[in-house]
Amino acid sequence: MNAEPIMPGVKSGGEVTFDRGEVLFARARSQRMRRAGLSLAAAALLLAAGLLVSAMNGTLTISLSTTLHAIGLGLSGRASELDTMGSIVWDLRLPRVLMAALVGASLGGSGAAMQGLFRNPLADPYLLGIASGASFGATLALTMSGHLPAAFTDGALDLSAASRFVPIAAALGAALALLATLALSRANATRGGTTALLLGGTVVGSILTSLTTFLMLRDADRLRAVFAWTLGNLSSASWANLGRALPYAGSGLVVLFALARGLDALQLGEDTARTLGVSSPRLRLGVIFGASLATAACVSFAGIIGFVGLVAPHVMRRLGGPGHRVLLPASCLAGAALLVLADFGGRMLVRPAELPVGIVTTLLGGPVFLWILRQRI
Amino acid sequence: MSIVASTQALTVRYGSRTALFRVNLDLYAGEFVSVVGPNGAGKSTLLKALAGLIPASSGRVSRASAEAQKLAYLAQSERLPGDFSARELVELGRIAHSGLWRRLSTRDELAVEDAMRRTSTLELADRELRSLSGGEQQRVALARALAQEPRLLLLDEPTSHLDLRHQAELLAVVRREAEGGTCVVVVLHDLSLAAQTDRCVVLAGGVLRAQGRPDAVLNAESLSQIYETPIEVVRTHSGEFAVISTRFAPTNSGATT
Repeated sequence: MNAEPIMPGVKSGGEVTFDRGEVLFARARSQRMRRAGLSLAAAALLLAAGLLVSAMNGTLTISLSTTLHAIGLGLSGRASELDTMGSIVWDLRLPRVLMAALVGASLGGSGAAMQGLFRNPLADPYLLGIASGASFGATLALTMSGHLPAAFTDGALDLSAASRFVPIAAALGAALALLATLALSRANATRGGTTALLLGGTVVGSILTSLTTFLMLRDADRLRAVFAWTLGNLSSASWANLGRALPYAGSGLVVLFALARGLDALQLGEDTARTLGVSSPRLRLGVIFGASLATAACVSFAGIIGFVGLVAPHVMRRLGGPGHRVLLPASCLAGAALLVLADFGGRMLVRPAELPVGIVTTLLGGPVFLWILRQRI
Repeated sequence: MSIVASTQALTVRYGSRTALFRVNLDLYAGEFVSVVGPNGAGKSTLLKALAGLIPASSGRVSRASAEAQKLAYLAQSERLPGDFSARELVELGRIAHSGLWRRLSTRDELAVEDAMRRTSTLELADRELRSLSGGEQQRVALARALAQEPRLLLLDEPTSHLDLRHQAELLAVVRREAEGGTCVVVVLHDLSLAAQTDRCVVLAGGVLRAQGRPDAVLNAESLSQIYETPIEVVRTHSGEFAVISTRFAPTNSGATT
């Protein structure tokens, strides 16, 4: 008899063997990590490239070195030393591209969270009427505070003239719309599913848009500006507005990130999630809170921009996998890159004029929506 | 044997409809219990009440340990997230231990691997769930429940949609869990499968009609009455028995038993 100690997986020569299942089990994790890392890196790279290209180009094309130099000076707090070109980069273009990135990240992140919450890849802040809710809240606050005329003086929304509480009102409007859509879709969960969800969202969105239009019509002089805002517009971006939007978008996204694992558990269904110790009602409230804040920041400072929240998570789910701890940040990066590029396209296509970015995203995102819908139904 | 969970005069009502009426049931560690009965008998309701998913209208459910992590529940035809890999799904089971914010520890990873080994799903680890067959999906779903390392394992019709071989394989895995000390409660439609469990609980109209060893409980007369259709119980040569409905058999058949 062989006196050697027998250990599973270790041959007598000391050579270690693994069974096929163990190898595949281990590989499942390493592959997932690699996939997640690659997708995050790709989205970050695309965003960085988009930011740079977008800051360099516009009515005037500015060289890479001038652009980088201006950014360097600006970052070191010496913006006053900038020449005209540098000033275009630092004072005009950079706030705009960064606002596009912030809004895109918020839309991508809240889109991913809503898709997780509704367990449906067609959920999106725009399609579910949540953006309309935010715009209604913002408009109502502006009207009641008497700031509506001042906010729309120069062809674009300028919140500096308006109350600081507009984004909060927008968040409340968004939360209201999200609650309504959620209630409608849950009431119809047994029949319809996707159809019930989308119809519910469309109806909620239409009602709230009508209310917004009603409020705005009382001030017909500024209809054009108001119209441009509802189409999605980044032309009001400034460092000051960026500073105002950041707390809302940032805190909203942080809340959503914290709920990532809970959203994973929810994919098993509410009952099973509960036996894992995950409370669906609390999770739902958290997502409503986070997504409303993030959407409100977008709508208050950039109007209604559709489909970014649909497309970014869809692409990143395919690239990086469905786990929300990767999907949420990846969707933020991809949404940011997408909106920066869409805004860049909108500025370049018809320059020196510009297309509202919402038109660009809808033209690009609409077909993607139809494609997903076709696969789904 | 120690009691893992029990119900005392458990009554559950949905609005005006009574789904369960004064059910008394004790569940012991290491036991493999089947719950059978006609459609609408309250089987799923009983399981959900044991899982703490629906409240008792009166009476009570008591569990030896109040911790959620001592219990795992597999819903009837659980809708799996198709784009998750098998391993990712099983890892979700560990949320019961790790909570939502802690990373999975080595201990968690080992439990995941062990659960997948016991259900023979290690080789499926990196596959997307939507690419798996019905039997494979059901085994992965079971692995998720096992990864929770429950003392009470509640399975609602885990064998529906499975063919004979996969039914047998799945229940063999579940039996080994019971032999390891877990209390397993499984809702089954197939009475011949229920005949192979340790104890059979028969529900009808929300009332516990009978419970005990399958050979004592599953007799033709009472089953025919409960299911309101002619039923025969047939012994096989190896001593196991099969339960069959003779309702749609040809009237002039010389059926051999």
